[in-house]
Amino acid sequence: MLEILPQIIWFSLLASAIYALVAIGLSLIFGILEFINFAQGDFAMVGAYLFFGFVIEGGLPWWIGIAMVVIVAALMGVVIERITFKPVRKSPPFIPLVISIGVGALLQAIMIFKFGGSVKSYRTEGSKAEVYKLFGDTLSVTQSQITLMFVTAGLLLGLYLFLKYSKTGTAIRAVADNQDVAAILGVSINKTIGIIFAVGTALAAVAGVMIANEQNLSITMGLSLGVKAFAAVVLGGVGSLPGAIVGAFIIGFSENFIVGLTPIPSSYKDAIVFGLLIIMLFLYPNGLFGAKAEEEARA
Amino acid sequence: MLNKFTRTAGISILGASLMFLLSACADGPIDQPTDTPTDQEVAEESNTIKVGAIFPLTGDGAAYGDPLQKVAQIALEEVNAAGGVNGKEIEFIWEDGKCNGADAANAARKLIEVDQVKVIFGGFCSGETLAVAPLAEAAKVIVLSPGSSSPDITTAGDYIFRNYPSDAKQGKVIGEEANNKGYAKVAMLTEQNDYTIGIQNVFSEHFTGEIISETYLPDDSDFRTALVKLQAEEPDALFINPQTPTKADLIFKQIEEMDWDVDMIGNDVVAGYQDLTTKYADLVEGMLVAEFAFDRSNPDFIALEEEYKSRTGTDLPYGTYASTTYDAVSIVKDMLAVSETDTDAMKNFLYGISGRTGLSGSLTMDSNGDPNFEHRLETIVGGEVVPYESEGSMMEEGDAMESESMEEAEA
Amino acid sequence: MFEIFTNTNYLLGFFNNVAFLILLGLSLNIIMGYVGYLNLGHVGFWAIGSYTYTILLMQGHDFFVCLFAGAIAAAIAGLILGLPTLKLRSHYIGIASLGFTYIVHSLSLNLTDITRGPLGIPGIPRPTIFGISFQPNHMYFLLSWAVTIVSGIIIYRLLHSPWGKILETIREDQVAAKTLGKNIFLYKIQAFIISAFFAGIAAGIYSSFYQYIGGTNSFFIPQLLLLLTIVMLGGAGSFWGSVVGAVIVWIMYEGVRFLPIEAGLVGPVQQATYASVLVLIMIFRPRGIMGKNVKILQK
Repeated sequence: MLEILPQIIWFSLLASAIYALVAIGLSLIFGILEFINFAQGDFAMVGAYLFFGFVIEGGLPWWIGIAMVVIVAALMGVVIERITFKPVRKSPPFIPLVISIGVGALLQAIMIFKFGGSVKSYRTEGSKAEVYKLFGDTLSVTQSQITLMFVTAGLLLGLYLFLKYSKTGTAIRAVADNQDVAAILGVSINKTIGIIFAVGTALAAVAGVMIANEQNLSITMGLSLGVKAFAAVVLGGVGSLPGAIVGAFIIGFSENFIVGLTPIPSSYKDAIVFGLLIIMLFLYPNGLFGAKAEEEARA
Repeated sequence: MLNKFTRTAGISILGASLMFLLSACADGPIDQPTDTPTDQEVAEESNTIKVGAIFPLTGDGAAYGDPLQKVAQIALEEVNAAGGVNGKEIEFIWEDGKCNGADAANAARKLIEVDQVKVIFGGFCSGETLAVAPLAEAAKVIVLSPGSSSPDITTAGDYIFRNYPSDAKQGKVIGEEANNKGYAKVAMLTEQNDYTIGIQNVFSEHFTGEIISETYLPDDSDFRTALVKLQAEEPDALFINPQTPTKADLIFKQIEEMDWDVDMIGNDVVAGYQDLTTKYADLVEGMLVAEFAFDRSNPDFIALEEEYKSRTGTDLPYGTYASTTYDAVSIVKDMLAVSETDTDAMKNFLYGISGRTGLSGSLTMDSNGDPNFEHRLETIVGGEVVPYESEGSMMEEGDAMESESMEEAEA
Repeated sequence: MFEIFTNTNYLLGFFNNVAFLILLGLSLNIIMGYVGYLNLGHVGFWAIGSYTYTILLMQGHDFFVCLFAGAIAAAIAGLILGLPTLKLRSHYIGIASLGFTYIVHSLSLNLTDITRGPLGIPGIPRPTIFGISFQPNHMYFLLSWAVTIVSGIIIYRLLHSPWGKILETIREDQVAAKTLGKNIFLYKIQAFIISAFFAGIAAGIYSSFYQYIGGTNSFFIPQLLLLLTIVMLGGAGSFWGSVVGAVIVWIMYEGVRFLPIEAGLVGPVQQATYASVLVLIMIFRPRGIMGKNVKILQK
């Protein structure tokens, strides 16, 4: 059993990185608008298909493709927010949440119309994955997996710097803290919320592209991704960005370790994650970091 | 202000949805034959005989459902061009079974109750046919599947037929050859579907060594953890047992990324899709597979391949399924000539089929509504599926079987 | 195309569908409309009821025993889900109950010895009661409507009893209800159990009508979307709203069949239709067609 440990740890890291990217966007939105955006996973799915459309079908170079994905996804996020969530901003969280379920389903249907329902892959004929062997052959990693780790780390670091040091980032944190005070101080609430949706959607879309590069594309790929990312946010404590990342790692590691090191088959992954989530909610209704975050907000 | 905005927004959502509906009607991404008539058209024409048809038209199963729907349409056009049945044309009412029981059962209920068909052509995936069977049996509707191979279909009902052989034979020849090769431990990665589980069950009946089994759900796409677990067991061979080529593609990719060099065995979904065997030619070199034997050099089959290529611009995949699908359409025609409405007469006609020549060989239906066809061992060399040269004592038997099936095809 | 409306079998099928959808809508409405919690786990109750009913029926048990057993099994599941989650805030209940749907879905696919997993259970019989066979569509129509109407009357009486009034008081003002000396948690958990119980009844008539249950596409997000649309379109908190909602949703669903589109696109168009309707109704009229302005819909 021990000889497969490095491989399992690597798979856990990969899964965690992807959950973290989607979870950060969710957490940002939740921090300000206080509703759960169930369409977040579907944003990732749309990103993956956009890249497929631009690069595999459209023949653009990959770096232009990824830039287009980021731009289109960010725009999409803003437009969806303006059309569907802005009119109900003063409503209880129940309503935007149900709307986001509808938006996600609508995005799936649209992608089926555009690309068809069958599973697709970025991989073209003849291209072969580069495989590197580490730790005396106990660990194989591929180029796309290494790319995924570096891109994720870069994006998370970039986001941290953006929120901490840029003017817009400061505005976002101000709005998250207290919308009314921020408005009095002259921060445009609408603009800030728009930026949050743009950033959150673009992050999810990039995550989608990387998952698709690692595995493949399917219309329903966003479903469990979004819900697992949300589970990560809840585990970490809503509104806390470091919490969301920790939550993502808890979920990524627990599902891979339980499946990899016990006789439980991999098809139980979802049941494990959500069982864990319900137990955690029962024990820590505010998440691991949530109570602290709330205190900070109050102080 | 807000009200005005929300109203505009609402209208734009509606407009956008409508646009998508329209574009969906105008040019759907799923390129089905454009001459497929819709249900209404069929109902309006009284000079046709309606036959229900359930294939996997979307989803992963469309990898074979789609090309084989085209093959069926080619065969149908030929039948109708030659005068149809009693001067009437046969029309297929296509329904999407999505390679799963729930959708196939829904489609069958619609075909039986609303369209009131007497014959259902398909399902294709075993799960489709097994879900359709009880409904058809209760309504005394004939089911003729050209592709479902689960051993369970043998006993699925009196009105349930197929002209594709049961996997009882596929699992047997592979299992025996695995014994013959001296494998002591075979790792098996099986999708949870009627077809694949059928193969696993029969293989484990005939294989005398140890089987390490991992299963996955039809929606899964990450097999790495399962593969790592199997690899840690250090098996002599790895049996890849997916329902669709899409899944096989993913599994091969992930094996390649693990850099795992192991003897491989595959089912006939893997073997029948040349795009796949050429894409992973290095990985699948020497893979042991079994397909049912038919004569690919038959001029009629070559004509079908050419017709398919001229219509679609692509090579015909799944020659074995294509041959049975093509033959099944002509069986439907002869069956409807016996009676257009009396399914008991149709049933007796089907049970009476003996030595009927077609692309797939000389067909004799047994008392369970199963065909007499045999599976033959094959292997993959340089991305091509070629007859398998058995080792040692199996040599003569393998050759004998091969020549036997060739004779059958020629007969 | 209009000859379809004179096709008795088609019409019977239509109304058989409407029957169990009304009952599913009514039962979900108890939680969403009267308790005021977003319950995304209703599909899980439906699944548990269906499997219990089907497995017992196929062992040859009496119809009413099976129907009742399915309902009891669902009710127990309601208790199990309600106990740890009912004290959470509303949107946390949303995610926890969605997790429940995932867990039930995952178990239904994995516990293959009981459920046959992705293969589903084909060939479910229609019952014979006191020697009368309900196999033909018109007979089954009578049975399913009898069950729906009796259940509907019970739900109606319950909601208009003192018990139902207390439930509404709790929803509108927890503090007031508490000062009246009511054990709020007890009332909520009772409502949860009753809601799940009737979902189990609906599941029974659903299973014998379709004569096939299970598979990867059943009891999951599309079905959840369908139920949410029924309740929200008709109006949360309105008894007749769920009835109207079920009828309208099923007309939309069937209507798509008559559009001139290919068989493979019917599913996505249906999904797009009711996703759009759900989004629009939540933006423009969150209380639905017949709904009252209940507290969950205000801020």
